[in-house]
Amino acid sequence: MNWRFVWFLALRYLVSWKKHSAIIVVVIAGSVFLYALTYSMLCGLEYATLSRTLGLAVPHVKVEVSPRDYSKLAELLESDTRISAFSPRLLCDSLLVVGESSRGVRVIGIQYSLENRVSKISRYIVDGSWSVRDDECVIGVVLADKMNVSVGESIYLLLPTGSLWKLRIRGVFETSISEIDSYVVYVDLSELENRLGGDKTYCVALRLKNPSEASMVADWLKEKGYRASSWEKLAGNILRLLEVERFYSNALIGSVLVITSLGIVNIMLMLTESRKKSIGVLKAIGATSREIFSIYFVVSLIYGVLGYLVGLVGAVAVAEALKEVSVEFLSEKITVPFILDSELCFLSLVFSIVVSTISCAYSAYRASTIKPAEVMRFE
Amino acid sequence: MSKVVELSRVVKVYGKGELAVKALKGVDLEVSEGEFLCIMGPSGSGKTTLLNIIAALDKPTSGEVKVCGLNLAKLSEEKLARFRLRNIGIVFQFHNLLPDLTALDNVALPAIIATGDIKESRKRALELLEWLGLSSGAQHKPFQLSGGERQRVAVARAIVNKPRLLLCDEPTGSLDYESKLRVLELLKRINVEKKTAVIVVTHDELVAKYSTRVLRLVDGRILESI
Repeated sequence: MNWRFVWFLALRYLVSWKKHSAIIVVVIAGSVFLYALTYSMLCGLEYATLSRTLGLAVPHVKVEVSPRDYSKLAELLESDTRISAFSPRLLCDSLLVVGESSRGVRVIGIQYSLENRVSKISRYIVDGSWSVRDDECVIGVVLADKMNVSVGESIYLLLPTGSLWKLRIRGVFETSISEIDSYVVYVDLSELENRLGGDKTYCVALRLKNPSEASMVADWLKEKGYRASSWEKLAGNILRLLEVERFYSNALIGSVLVITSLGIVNIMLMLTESRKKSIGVLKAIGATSREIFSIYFVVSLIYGVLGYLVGLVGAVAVAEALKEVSVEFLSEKITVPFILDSELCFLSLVFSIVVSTISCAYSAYRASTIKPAEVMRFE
Repeated sequence: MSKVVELSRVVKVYGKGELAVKALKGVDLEVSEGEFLCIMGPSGSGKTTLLNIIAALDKPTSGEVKVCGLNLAKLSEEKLARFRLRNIGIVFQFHNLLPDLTALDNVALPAIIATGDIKESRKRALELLEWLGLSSGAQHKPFQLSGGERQRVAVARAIVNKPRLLLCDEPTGSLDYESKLRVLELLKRINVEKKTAVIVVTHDELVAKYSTRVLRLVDGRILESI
């Protein structure tokens, strides 16, 4: 096969079919643009959801341990290079009482200096300070609004032991995660431990250098005899929801692919049909069926690459201009960044080449099977 | 002189059963190197079918076809294409130039397929167009040329690979008298100067004047030599 001839004629055709070429390239560019932008938003949504959830509602890894065994666990955790920080927590459900109003809350006892390294909650303080000590607490903005309290005022917690604990509000946070903002009260770990008494279980929250190693770290801790769970397990519902989101996005992209392909198939078949005699002549003067097929295939590849470049440049330009968009996810408004990484760029290239070659393969095949004697017979 | 074309009892039938049409009914034909053969006959007599079979564009239903000493029945479609490329030039009635290419690229195309050398092929094509007095229209697309010019470009395309055999199907059929003469003179020039065997199928009596031999094809049979 003579590839120079194939490229020579493919390039000549591209130039000669300016109008049709421009339409096909624009159609492919449009679908690549949609594909890249949809996927970058989806990646952004995943990133935004997980980065908000991880370190706030869900730690990378959670280990349950009794206070007696905590120091042994701490030694083990400090020796592992995959773990960047850890913080013990003590959890209990209580009743928050202000005047005649009361509300069920989740009380989390923390050592704020350690918690600071694991949790991102300090970034969301909107009033007062995060450093809880002794009889102080930090509550969510929704809870504060509902109980009509603010920084410096006092609240009471009715603990499971039946004792009433008076606390001064040290700070108010706003994470925009309603479950946290309306339900969580942070207090000092040792104070809570003293008031609850008995041998309560610590939930040790771990922060990893690489969150994708969470399952491995959890398994390693299980092997050591601890009850550990990774964030993939803890945030299972969110991950499943994101999977559903991904499924519907794929369905949308699949539809775009089919519609785009049908459009290109039409244009290419029209071009092949109108050039039937030329193809017959090419075969009559010595071109082989494989060369004819390759000419149309090369043309489709060039369409794919050009469409990819135009579409990707458009998607990058829009992503750069907008940076991020606000969407409602899990009944909360979140800011979703556009994430266009090299993997997505490669996938877009594969997408555009698949669209163009699938669309052009049939017309290329039709062209290659044309019998010169038959098309010449009917002048 | 060696034989360029040898046909023996060639039969071509289109269709099957009751609808079968016998286009060629046992044609025997020999054409020698350097010959200018004119095959005349009315429409539907099988002229184009005969030419297509010699050009390896169609296969006979029965009989043997040898072109340049090679039995074409034994060659695959791909090998036939390459055989045509190197040994046979074809000129069609309606020029059949590729509308997407310039006259120069149209002429260079068979050479590009044969050698892959685009620069050299275009150089050779330009020389040929100059030889034919068509260099001024080299960069024109076919629609920008007159009917006679298009047909002469088609002749140039047919001879760019220096074939041993030039087949012409009604080359003057769509031309005015002036253009007819120019094309026929050109074919004669190629026949004499390049020693290329030329077979022209036509029902134009004028072609006979330029030929070394004339055959008449009627109802799929060669009836007489003139």
